[in-house]
Amino acid sequence: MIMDKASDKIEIDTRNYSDNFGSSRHQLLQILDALDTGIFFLNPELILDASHSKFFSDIFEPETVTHRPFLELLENKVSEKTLEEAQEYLNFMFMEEHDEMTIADLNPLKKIELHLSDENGMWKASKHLSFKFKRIREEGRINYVMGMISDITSQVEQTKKLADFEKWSKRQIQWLLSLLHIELPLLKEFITVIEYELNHIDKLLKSTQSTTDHAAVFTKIAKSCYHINSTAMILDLDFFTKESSDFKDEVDEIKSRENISGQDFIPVVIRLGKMQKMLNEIKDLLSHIKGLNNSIRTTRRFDGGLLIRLIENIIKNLTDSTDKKIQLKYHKFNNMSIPFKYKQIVKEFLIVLTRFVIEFGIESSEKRKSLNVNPFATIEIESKFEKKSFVLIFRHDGNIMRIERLLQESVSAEMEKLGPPETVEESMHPGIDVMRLFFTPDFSTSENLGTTEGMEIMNDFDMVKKKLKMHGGRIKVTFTSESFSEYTVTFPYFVKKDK
Amino acid sequence: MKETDLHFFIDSTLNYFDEVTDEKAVTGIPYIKSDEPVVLDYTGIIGISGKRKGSIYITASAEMLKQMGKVILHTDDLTDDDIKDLIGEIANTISGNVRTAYGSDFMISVPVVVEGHARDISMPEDLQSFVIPITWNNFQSFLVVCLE
Repeated sequence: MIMDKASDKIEIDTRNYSDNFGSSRHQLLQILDALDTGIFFLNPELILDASHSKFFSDIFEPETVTHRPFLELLENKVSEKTLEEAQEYLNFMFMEEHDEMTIADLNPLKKIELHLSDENGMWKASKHLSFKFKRIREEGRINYVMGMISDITSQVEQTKKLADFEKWSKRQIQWLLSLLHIELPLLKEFITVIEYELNHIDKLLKSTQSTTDHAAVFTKIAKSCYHINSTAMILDLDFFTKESSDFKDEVDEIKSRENISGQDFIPVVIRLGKMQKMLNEIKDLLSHIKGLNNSIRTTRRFDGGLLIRLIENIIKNLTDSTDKKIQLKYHKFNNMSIPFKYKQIVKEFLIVLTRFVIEFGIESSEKRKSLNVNPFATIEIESKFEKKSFVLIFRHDGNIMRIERLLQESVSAEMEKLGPPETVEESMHPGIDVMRLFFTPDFSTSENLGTTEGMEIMNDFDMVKKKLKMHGGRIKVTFTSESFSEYTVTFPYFVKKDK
Repeated sequence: MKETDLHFFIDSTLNYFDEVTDEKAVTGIPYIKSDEPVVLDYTGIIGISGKRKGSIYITASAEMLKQMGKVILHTDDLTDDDIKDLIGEIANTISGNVRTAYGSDFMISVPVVVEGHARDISMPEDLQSFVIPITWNNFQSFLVVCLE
């Protein structure tokens, strides 16, 4: 508004002066210099007159402006399209048949971005300028066009900054709402896992340049995508889950193609870049919300209820469309006893194992009836402290024979590496070979399962295995009776002694 | 940057090799550029500004450019200037294609040729740069794209 008023004032002043253009030019420029407004004059050939304000020449410094074609001054600083339109408009300005006011709207330099380049021609900065043009008559003829130029850079940049900030803050608030319900250590672990997997994909892309087996690289990338997606899903981070899910689906689609070339990696590298940016933003956001997160942390009792409810929901969702019936027993499970640093791994372990057991272990109620066992299968979870360790037990009475069949081809080869089972009891159980394979850190089971669900679960297992190893945890699979399988996870726990 | 942008720059480059040398170039696995320099003996750089800002460069070894020169100019006697012209021409071709495809709202700089690989080519810091390895006749070159 202020600028417009100033500009109008200049117009009135210059119009008065334009009547005596030749004689008053010097005086006019002195006044305009003081007003911090760029003024210049163009002859009908669109050549710049020697008279121009300092403000105008400063904008184009170090280039000299006097006697140069005006449009040449703008070359490589505005687009070719703008230049062409500017030439047309300025030519119209010297034609009496065109009404000055009517063609004013055609002015393409009304608001432009002037691109300033470095010595190599690379863009280094921009100036936002606003040009206005007025006819100058001498003896009734249009002899000159006067250009007035205002630097609106700060105004445009502020507006852009404000719009960007608005967009950014809207996104940050949405993310913040998702992040606040997660406890800080879990968020930190989430970031560690995502960062690890994204770096892993990044390294894969860089380090496999000489390979021609692009499909193998895609298989590895797919695995990391599953881990990223599962981690986001476990924490209910919708915004990240959506992005990682799209990434995973895209990788799956490309992986299924017959001939994979280098160009097929383009969507991967673009998505990777996007997710790296997202992660950096989350990290940045996290550094600001530390205090806030602590102050609104959910109570452990409430959180414990959530964990049980989460497992119950998984059971419900996975059995709804099947004839499987499952009862969850948790009276020996005390969420409050879980050491804080193991909360996330315990949660993930319970989720993965529940999904795994429902998918592969527990039979339909009809089948159980025919086997003469309770049509309701049982999943039981238990927690306790034992010899400076925190122990989590997951027990179920399903049959695991189906997995053994699925993994039959891999079992013999891998078992040679593992050696014999630890106890006679273990060796007697038909599923022990398979169970031990799942929890062998270097064995990847994901390629051995035909179904997508199976592959996802196995990838989750891989992730849990990695985390378990990271926490120094151990897992043992035993079979407490002919009808119960039991997974025991032991985490080291040291209670500080009082001084 | 969008997937289609990257595809466009790659196709422009591959077409150049195909049309000028009659020998197809192959794209390697693209990756995100880190702080590690991606610069070979000769580099042709073009700057893009306007609606979207950024820069693109292609960098190749002297051996590769000499071999290309042999194929194109049918001579073994290539000077340093010939080699520089060649990398400049590749960059110029990409630049021309960008101009055609992206329209006159974009401003494409005249290609700049840089010789030697002591330093990295500086790209806009706030943008991600993507490296696309391109193999022609067993020689490797890199196309680096950085665009808003």
